[in-house]
Amino acid sequence: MARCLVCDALRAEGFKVAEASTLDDAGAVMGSMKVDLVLADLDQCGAAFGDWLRTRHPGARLLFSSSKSGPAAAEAQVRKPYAVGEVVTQVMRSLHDPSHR
Amino acid sequence: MTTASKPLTPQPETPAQTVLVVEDEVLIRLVIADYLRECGYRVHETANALEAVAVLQSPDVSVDIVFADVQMPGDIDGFELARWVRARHPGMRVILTSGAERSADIAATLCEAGPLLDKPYEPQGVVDRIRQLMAKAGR
Repeated sequence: MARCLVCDALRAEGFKVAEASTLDDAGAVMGSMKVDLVLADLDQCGAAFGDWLRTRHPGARLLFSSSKSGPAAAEAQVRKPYAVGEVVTQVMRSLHDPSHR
Repeated sequence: MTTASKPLTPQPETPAQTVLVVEDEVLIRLVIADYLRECGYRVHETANALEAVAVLQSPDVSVDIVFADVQMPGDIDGFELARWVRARHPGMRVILTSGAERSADIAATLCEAGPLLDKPYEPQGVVDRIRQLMAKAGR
């Protein structure tokens, strides 16, 4: 449900958004189209997904969200629960800031 | 996600209608969902029936048509989802799609516009079926 609302908000801002519910789906999507940014649930994907993405798709930026705290969520830039608008802002910031990878 | 701008050419045909696409094959889902958006529909996507039920139960989302694959992973297939929709949302339309011919008879009893849409389908065929259903419903 959260994915549904975030995707809606991003589309309303003019982004083309592809949805993936599993890592396999994400891999299939990324193999079929150029993706500028991946918004992923760290709690579901695990930090290893970041390594995979950086290796296989170095041009794609990554935003992790997480409901955890501490070292387990060290890589997460978006804390759950989040407001949809907050995620949209983070996405825009990440895409427009060349140093934000 | 890509930063491509909004489609330039497609003309909205039925802008107020919302379609829920339920399809576990992500690349098929991606294509049909994109096509429907370009035709002016608002589209939600789920990869299985359980996700679809969660979306349909949400007060934040209003759906006019469910377009679902019959064969999906998990305990609930497209038929069960269609039965659930008919029981809980009698005004909501359902279109089922399947690559299996044997599914046609069952689908005919669950879909207002006749048997299911065979896979592989043309995206425009889905739009035609949606329009047919909505016209029948007077929307």
